[in-house]
Amino acid sequence: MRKEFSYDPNLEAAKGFKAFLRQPGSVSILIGSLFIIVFVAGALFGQYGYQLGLYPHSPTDVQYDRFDSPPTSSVLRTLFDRREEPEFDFEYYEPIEGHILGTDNDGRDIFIRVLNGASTYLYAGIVTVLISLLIGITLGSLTGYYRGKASESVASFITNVLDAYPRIVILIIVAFISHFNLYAIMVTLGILNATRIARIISGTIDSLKNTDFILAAKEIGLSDLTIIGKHIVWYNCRHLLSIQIIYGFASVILIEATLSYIGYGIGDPLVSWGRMIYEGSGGRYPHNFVAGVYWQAMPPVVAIIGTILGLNLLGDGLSKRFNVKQTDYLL
Amino acid sequence: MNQIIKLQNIIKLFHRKRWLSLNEGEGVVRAVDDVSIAIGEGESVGLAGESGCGKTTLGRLIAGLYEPTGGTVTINGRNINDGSTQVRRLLRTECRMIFQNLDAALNPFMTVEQILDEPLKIHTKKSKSDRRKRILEVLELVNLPVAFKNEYPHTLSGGEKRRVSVARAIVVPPKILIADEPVSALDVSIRAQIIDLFQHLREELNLTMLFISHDLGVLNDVCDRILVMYNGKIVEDAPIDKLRSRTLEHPYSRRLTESVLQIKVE
Repeated sequence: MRKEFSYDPNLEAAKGFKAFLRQPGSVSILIGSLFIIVFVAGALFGQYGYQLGLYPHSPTDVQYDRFDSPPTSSVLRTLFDRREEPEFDFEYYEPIEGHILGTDNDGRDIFIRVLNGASTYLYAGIVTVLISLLIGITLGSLTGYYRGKASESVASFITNVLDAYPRIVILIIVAFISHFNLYAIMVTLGILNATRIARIISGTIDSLKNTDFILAAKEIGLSDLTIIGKHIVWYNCRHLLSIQIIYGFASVILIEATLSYIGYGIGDPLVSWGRMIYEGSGGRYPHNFVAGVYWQAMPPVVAIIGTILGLNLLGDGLSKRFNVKQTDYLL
Repeated sequence: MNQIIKLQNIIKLFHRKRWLSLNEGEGVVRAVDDVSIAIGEGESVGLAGESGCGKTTLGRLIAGLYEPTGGTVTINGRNINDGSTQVRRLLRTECRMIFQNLDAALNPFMTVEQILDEPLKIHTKKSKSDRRKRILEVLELVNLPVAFKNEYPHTLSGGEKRRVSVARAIVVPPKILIADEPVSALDVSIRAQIIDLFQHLREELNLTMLFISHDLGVLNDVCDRILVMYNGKIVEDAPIDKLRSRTLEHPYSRRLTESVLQIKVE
């Protein structure tokens, strides 16, 4: 295992993509980022596709005119629909030309709505993660670095109080009070997620602050802030934080979907995947689902699964990549 | 000689925290007990003593990493613990320390290059390419292959880690070097190289050195003067000739010199 005996000079020559592939977690990072690139591209398309004229329908356009004509048959219908005679008057459109994935109960295009939902979550996810990082790192540093001082007791008290409530209940209350305002939900979720980050940071600082390399950093002349930011948070916590950042992002989607499904999600001009699933899987028109209108709920379900899967793969890969201590690798 | 380091009646107490301790005084350790020494510019002083006698604490007090409980540490005529940031900054540029613990002295998530780059970034205004050049120079000086600059500490052996520590201490040439067991855990040939390196640096930079070690042979090679520490107190302050001629006075120092192993050729 010793480098002096096994050092192959050719190994140093690997650069660019080849060197990237040799590092741990690179396959997860690649696949995960593919999912996320699709997610982000979809979000951009959902937000600006209609305005730029790339797609004929807007996410909020209600096309009442189409209600007058009966549902048109499609390939999907001939394959899967085994109903002999329609019992209900359907107010939706099955997948036909013009509407790639059909429309929902209000006559809005499902395809553009799913993509537009991605942009909602992209925005909400980034803001939530930033809030939780800011609060988490501040609280964690105060509790860890200044243990035994007044700032530590205040900060750890705040952390403990935040952790003591069931988060879904807090979110339901906040959603109800704020009239389903996205900003209020984002800030609350950011604060709630911050406690995990704070605990990670304070634990790491606590175990490292008396080690020689932190003393050495002090001795070199680094300030407390640089030591916390560079040596502890960046170098020694990033493999843990990358998972938490991804978790925070995923939690926005999952919790919002949960809230929406039980009826406490974000309000109407914004698109929510949870609400789409709720509507598509019964919701206000239970007979739709019973009658086999599965395509209304499928696209948001697939979008949620794909996004969470991609996020988890990316987080896993980043964590492996940053945890250089775990894997002995040559550059 | 200009006295560059001056300690006056230094006391350092550590409080051992105990769960539900009823007796206040019970957990107090007197690591350094009323120590007064002066080290001249360009002088190389060895600090010997058994483990736990306060050698490392004394070194860290001089480096400004610990605040003394009592007494003053004066470097270049300035009290380093008077709270002035200017004095602190000066101390940080002039004084370097080599840490004893091999594994903990280097950030496990930083490469050797990043570790060596840090002091350069703070204390010099060199460009990136100049800094890189200096790092390669120093790696050569401590006899490490250039390819090691991309290695993480856990992939290095004990001796290699120690040499990285030494490289970090000298990458920005200091005026005062506090070396805490710098050659322990090194094999003999590399030990000789490092000692040569220290002697070379001393001549070149007029380095003031405090060499903490329990290895009297090393002190004999490097130092002009030897301090023997016992139970937090300096019990002997003598020129190195006394160590060579085995005429140290304190009973503990005598025991120390007598216990040195020697190769006898018959």
